Amino acid sequence: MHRRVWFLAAAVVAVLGLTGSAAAVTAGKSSSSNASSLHAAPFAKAWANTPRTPAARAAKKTMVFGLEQTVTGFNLGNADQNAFYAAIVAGTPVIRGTYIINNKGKYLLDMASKVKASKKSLTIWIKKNANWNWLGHKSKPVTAADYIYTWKIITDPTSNVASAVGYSNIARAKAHGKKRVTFFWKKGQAFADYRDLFGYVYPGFALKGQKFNDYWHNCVCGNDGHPISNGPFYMSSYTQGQGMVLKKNPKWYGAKAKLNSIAFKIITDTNSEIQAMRGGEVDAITPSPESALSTLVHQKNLVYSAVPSFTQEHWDIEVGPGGAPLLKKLFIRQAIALGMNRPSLINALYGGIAPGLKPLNNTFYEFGSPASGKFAYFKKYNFNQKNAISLLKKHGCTGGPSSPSAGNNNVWTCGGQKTEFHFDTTSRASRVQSSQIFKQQLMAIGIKLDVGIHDPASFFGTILPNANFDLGEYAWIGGPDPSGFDAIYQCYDAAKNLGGSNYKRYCSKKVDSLIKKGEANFNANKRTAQYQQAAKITSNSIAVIPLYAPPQIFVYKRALQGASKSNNPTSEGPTWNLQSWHWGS
Amino acid sequence: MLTYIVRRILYSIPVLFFSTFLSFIFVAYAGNPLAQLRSNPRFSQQTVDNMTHQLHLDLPVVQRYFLWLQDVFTHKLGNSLYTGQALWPQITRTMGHTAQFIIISEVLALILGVSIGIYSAIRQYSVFDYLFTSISFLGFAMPTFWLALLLQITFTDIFLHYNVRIFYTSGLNSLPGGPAWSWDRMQHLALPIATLCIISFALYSRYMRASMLDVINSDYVRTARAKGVSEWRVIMRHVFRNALIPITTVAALNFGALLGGAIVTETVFSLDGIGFFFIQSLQTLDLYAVMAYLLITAIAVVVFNLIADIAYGFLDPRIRYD
Amino acid sequence: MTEASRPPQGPLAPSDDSLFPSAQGLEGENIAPNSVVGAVDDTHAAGLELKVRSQWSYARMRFFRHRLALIGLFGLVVIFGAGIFAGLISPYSYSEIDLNHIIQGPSLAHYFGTDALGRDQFTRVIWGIRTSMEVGVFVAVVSTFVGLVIGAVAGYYGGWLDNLLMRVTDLVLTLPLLAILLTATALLGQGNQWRVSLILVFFFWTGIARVVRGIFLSLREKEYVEAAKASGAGDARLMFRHILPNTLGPIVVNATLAVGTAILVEAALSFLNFGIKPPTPSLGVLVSDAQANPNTPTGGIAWWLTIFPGLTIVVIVLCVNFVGDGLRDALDPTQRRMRA
Repeated sequence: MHRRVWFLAAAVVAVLGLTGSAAAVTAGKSSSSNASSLHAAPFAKAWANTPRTPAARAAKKTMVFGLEQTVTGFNLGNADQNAFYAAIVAGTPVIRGTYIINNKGKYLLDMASKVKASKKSLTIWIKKNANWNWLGHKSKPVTAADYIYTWKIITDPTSNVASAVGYSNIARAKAHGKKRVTFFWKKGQAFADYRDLFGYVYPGFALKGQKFNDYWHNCVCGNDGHPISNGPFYMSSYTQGQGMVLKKNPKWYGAKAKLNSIAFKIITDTNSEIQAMRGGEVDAITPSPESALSTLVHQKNLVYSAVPSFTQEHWDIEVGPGGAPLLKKLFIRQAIALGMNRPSLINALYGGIAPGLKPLNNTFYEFGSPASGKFAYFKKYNFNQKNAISLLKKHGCTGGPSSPSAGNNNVWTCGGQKTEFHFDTTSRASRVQSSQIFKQQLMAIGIKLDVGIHDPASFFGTILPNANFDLGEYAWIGGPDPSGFDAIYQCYDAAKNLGGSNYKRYCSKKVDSLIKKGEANFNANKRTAQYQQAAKITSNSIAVIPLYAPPQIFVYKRALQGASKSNNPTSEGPTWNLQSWHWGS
Repeated sequence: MLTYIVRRILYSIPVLFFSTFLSFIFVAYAGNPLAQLRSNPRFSQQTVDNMTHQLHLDLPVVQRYFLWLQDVFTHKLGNSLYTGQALWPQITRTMGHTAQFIIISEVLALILGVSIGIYSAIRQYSVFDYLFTSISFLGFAMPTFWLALLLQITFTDIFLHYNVRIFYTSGLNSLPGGPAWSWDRMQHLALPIATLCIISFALYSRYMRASMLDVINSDYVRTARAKGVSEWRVIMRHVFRNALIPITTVAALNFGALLGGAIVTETVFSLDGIGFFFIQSLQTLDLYAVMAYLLITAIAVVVFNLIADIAYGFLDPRIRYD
Repeated sequence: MTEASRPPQGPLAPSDDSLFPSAQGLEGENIAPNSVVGAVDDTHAAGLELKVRSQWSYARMRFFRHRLALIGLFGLVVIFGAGIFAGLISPYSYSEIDLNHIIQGPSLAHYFGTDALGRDQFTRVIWGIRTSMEVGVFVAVVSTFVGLVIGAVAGYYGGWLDNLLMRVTDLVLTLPLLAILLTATALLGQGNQWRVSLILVFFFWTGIARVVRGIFLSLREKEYVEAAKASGAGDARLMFRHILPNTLGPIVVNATLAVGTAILVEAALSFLNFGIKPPTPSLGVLVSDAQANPNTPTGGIAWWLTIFPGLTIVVIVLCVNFVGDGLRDALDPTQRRMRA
């Protein structure tokens, strides 16, 4: 053959040789593998048996729920799998914990009959009849050993946990018999947000031999592959990308489920989801907010519910060295806040799918009474263009418009610097739109924004952590307890692992000490007072401008009963009371 | 001929190697796939460090490339960085869906394109010819995504107004995971197939017409006519067969390119095909999934390019490969 | 334009007898390079004068007899004119947000309706034309230039240089085009119009390079080139003065058609949210924005948001293709090109 062909053949051999040597260097598992061999029964068969007509479904006491995202696993403690849609299926319906949070954000005792917490320790009394149903085995009670196992596995440094906050405050544990366990805090690290701990308890005895990072990718099961549950349902089948079926757990200690089974169908496309809902192929969905949902709002046979979620969409104003120098001045930040018309923005973005959504006015609390009324500290910075302009003038700024005007092109100069700032956010459609709206609103009072849109990877991976921005818009996932936001407001101290999420480098000794006290204060009223004080200070510092909480939407067929209180804005999701759903007439 | 094939294949390997290497560098530098973990204000730095090590994000890019290459051979393309699940089953599943609707639309487009091309050539400058040439021009000027959207909007509107569902406007089945050959699937695929068919039809009918005209005006056809052969026999025996030759190569090339996923069509109609898979992987910067896709489709393009060239050489005796 | 957006390897559609027969009498004449053809000018028949015309005036004559090309040219002038004078003719400001009039249908106040932020669609379409036009022309011009240089060098010098350059061309052509473009723009484009244009250039030059190389290869052996060489002309002079002018025909045609292809590809990339990103206007971005908010607040479909930008793309590319077709007939009447 031709000489060239030999040359090429040699090149191919060289490539394969290099590959082989790389293989020799790092032998073993696939470099990206997540070896998990335990699978639930395949979904397809169960799905084939699911009736398609409403009458047949009612007769068989089953329903179909449309799930909007592919789930990667059900180990809710694992960072990889800590997804909302996984929680809907495998959280409260299958694996429960000490407390459950209802749709009003209230913590209710669930698997525990009593909980006592103090600066020294946390004691949990487990309900006598709380048990594990591991199919193919005799049922075992939920014991202190399970709690201790949970604590140990989450604080294990090789476990890829979403967050170990709180668990790492525990120094040691003591079991008093089977149904009582006491955890002792490390010195000076009492954790007052104890209600958020042990919301998901692992059955250590059934998981012997399994590694935390590997379990429950394809099932919620023991180490023999059979389903396990301590909730009203167990996961009988699952295929990734297709769906799963939950079947009634007859051995559950609570009020037995009214439905026999629920099939969760994964429909990743919003349009398909909407059409399936309208066409009746699915009975309930909980879609992420998109304006296309407006076709579902006024359908006679559907119930449409939109409540504010526990996600805080907000602006960070960089007051550290990485931001524009003018932003360090309080009056500039006040003027920015006064120039933003938040209700108008919310109406434009969500008016069609969540009418009546209001702006957030508290920097630590998002929901219910602690966030409104006298605690709505941010209300005083509501939209007021005239005040913004007079504020700027009062501090000696010149060159801007004397009164707010839509077509204004003049930018203020304060102390020799122009009020022109970079604004960065991610490429999500709602954020692109809000950046345009805010740009226009602020230009009307003489503040110019240079908008930069970034993909999430570089925004969250580089721009924010390096504190290299002026103004940034994004969202935090929060919860009913205010201490969830501590890491956002604490003074940044890399060595002590404090304030790791405080990208805006806000630092107030007073707020720090209030947070520190609140984190360890077991008196609920005093704790709330401390956090509200911190909220007041941070609201008036305006390093964060809270915008709104994106709506959590739940749509279901009117014929489905027992779901009227289901739209739960916490991470429990709408299935928190799945056992009470049933078909009415 | 055999030497030619072997040589072509050997040439392709360094090309594939080089292009996958470039793509890998691109995607690896694009961003940190662990960034999304930071949306939890209480995120664990320990976990971020653990996962950085497990996903080899702390190694130099070149070494990561060879690790990926190793996974391609030993672990069937490896696992998705985002979901941790094996990639090969996903690729085969999505490829199957894409192949289904591409094959149907290409066959339809070929049949329509060839027949209309022939008729246009025979009746050159007639009203028929002008009409279909205009349609072809329109087909060339139409962005695929727009045609797809047009069809989608029309049928969604019909559904919303009259509550009658003629064709489905997204998804592969009413509830995903349904049977591949069912009335439901066909109702869902009707619009995507129509989209691809129209676009490809424009190409094929033009090529066929041009190729027919070329042959019709050539000497040997003139000879055949002069000999007294009937027009029908002239067309069918001499013109048609020779005019088909360029079409086979165009069709093979087109098909090879489409196997990369009719990306735009699949995105508009949310079909679980390989193009849609690719877009989602690119959005989440799932390095291994993106690389798996690029490798598979590059191989498909190479194979079909080769098939096209071989078919051309095979069918046209004037071409000789050495 | 097929789904996979293959780069142009010359004009999109093969050459055939043009749809509307033009200057038939001149077809079939083998016009030698750079020669001059004499012809009889009818209007001077009485005086029997010989009017000498250059090749270019014949080309011009053929072009202007091509009716569709004229329509296309007129359309392009109007549309691109609108794009160039976007600032002057748009009734509203491009980024003027009016939250009281979101997603409204076409009306006298807003010819093309409004979008999710109350911006006037007509204005946005005009600015979109401008951006798309800039991208299209930039990509066509620069890729033609690059392809010309590479093709000339490869074709003229031959040997290993030719081999290397053709292998590089093969490399680019072998990749699944849309996929690679998506990857490249996702990671390097940053939604910036000029970066995206540069990335497109990177893939568009291959078509013209092949054609130019072919012409150079075939012409460098011709007698007149050898004669010029013998009389002492250097390489550069040979390439530019003697061979290059013969490539101008295919180059002009290819560049014109490339404008249309570039606009289509850029629109597809932007539609998928990987090319140009909002708020920079481009017709593809407008369609993609429409997908983010496809419904009116009462649940109907805001069809005007998708239809008008797309229709504009169709009209632009149609006109470009007509003009390109006409140019091909005018400049290359003898050329019959199938698959390159």
